[in-house]
Order: sequence, then structure tokens, then C-alpha cells
Amino acid sequence: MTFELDFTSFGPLSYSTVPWDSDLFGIEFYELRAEGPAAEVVRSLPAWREELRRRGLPALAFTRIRPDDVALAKVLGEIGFYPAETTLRISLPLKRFVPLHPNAAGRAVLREASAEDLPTLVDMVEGMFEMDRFHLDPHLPRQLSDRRYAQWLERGFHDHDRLFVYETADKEPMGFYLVKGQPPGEVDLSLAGLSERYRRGGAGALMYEAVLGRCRDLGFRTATSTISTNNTDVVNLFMRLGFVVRSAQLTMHLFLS
Amino acid sequence: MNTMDTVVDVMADVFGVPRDELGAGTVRDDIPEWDSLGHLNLMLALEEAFNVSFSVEEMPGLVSVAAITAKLDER
Repeated sequence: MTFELDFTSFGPLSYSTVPWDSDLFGIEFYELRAEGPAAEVVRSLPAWREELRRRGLPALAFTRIRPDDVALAKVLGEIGFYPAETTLRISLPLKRFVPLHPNAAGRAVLREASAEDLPTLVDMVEGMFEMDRFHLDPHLPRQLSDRRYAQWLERGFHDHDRLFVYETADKEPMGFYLVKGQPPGEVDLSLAGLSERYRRGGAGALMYEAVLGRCRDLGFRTATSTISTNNTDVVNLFMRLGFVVRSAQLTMHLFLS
Repeated sequence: MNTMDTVVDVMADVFGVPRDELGAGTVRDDIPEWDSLGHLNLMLALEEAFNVSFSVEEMPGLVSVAAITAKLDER
């Protein structure tokens, strides 16, 4: 699953439309990168915002910065950006992975998904990501945010990412995990979901352990993921599975109407 | 020792909370450590203490001392 953006320079800034999000939400979506010298970024931001207004409203722009870049956050805040989510980039060398509950692993089955599984798995997405920036931003309808993740799942399956189903011994699907292999020997754990009935019931922890074991068996050396600090359950789970934090990002949104 | 006393002992051990803070009215939201992984750890510790096995279908509903005690008393 590859999403390529086409960035346009605007002085020390660059920005791109995000076509798939624009199509889904029915407003213009942009990603901004503010990587030039600070003084030039400060001078350019108001003109860039006016450029977006000229291109069409309403619009939502987002940018990702280091959480410790307080000076840049302040400048972005002055033109209307607001903090939306902090995420952590995490990784785990799989040779170091040891299942926390090896004796519980046999209660459920992890298998590769088929096309017949997709409708059931898509239904699981509803309400699953309520702590991410799309669901928390009051400018974005929650149903469309759910649809965004459902599309992500469908595209990943059709683009031949690996999609696993985690199901009971009676073949009732409890959850799914979409993972993407990346050179050299890395696998990104990109999207996971649990059926509402099984959330916070321990099945998620077992599924994560099963997926990590399967990725190790498939020959991947390192597992990576990006997790939201809003979801402390997931943060704690990954830390106890042995993941370490490599970097953090603050995503800020700007809504123009 | 009755079922509830043993359940409370196991919970105090798994979550590292004082035993006298737990009782018949304790529910999941009372204990910050009782997250998804904590829940799984609790289920496995209870299985060992009572020599029973919970299915993955049963586990999500066992989110209070009362519910756990009732389920164990059924066995």
C-alpha cells in the first residue's frame, strides 16, 4: 500500500494535497512541511495560509513536527494550527521477542485473511479508532473517519499487504492485523482492529503476540509501528511486549472555512 | 476461604494493589492497572489459582469481582 504525495515548494515550506482524504471528506486536505530556517518559516506561513484560501474552502491542513520544537508549534499556533495528536514511532528486534503468555496462545487461531473476510473485518473498524486525530477533530465527521480506516484496510488487502484474522476456535473473527513488509527485513504493523465484543478483554494482547510470532517466523527481523499517545492501553501493551520508542511526532491541524 | 476471598487475593497480587482496597463491589474502572494486558494476566492467574480454563469468549465479560466470582461458582 503506497500513498505518494506531490509536494509544491512555497518558499521554505512545501505542501501537497492529500487526494484520498479530500475525496473522502469532501474538503481540501493538505499536508504541510515546514523544514526551512525558522525566521523564513515564520514569514511565509501567513502567505501560505492565504494561498490555501485562494485554492478553495473549506480546507484542513496538517503538519507533523517534533514535540520539543516549541518555537515552531508557537508560530503554527499563531496562524491557527492546533495540536491534534502525538504519535510514537516504535520498534522491536524480533529475535528479542518473547511471548508474554505462551500457554494461552492455543485458545485462538491467527490465519491469513481471504476476500470473503473483508466485509466482517471492515465492520470491526467502526468506533475502533476513536482516540486518533481524525476522530478527535470536531471538524471531521466520525463516520467518515471510520470509513477512512476501512478504505485503508481494503486497499492494504488489495495491494497484497498481509492481512491476518484472529478468530476463536469456533471460527468467530475477533480481530485483524494488517502488516506491511519493508526492506531490509522490516515489517510495519500498520492497522489493527478488534470486534467490539472483544475489546479490552485480553484477546487484543494475545493477537498482538500471535502476529509478532508469525512475523518472526516469516523471517522479518524488526517490527515497527506508529501508535498514538492518546491510547495508553496500546502504549502500555507495546512497551511490555518489548518495543522501544524511536521518535515522537506532534501532528497539528489547521481548519479553514 | 471462599471464592471471592481467593479472587481478591489473586487480583491484589496481579495488580499490586492493597487487598483491603478490593471487595465485592470492585469493577475494572476502579483499578488503573486493569487494562487489556492486565485483564489477560488476571484471567491466567485465576485459571491457575482455581484450576479452570476460561475461553476467549468468556474473558471480556469478567470485569468485576462479582462477575468473576459468579463465573467461578458456576464451575
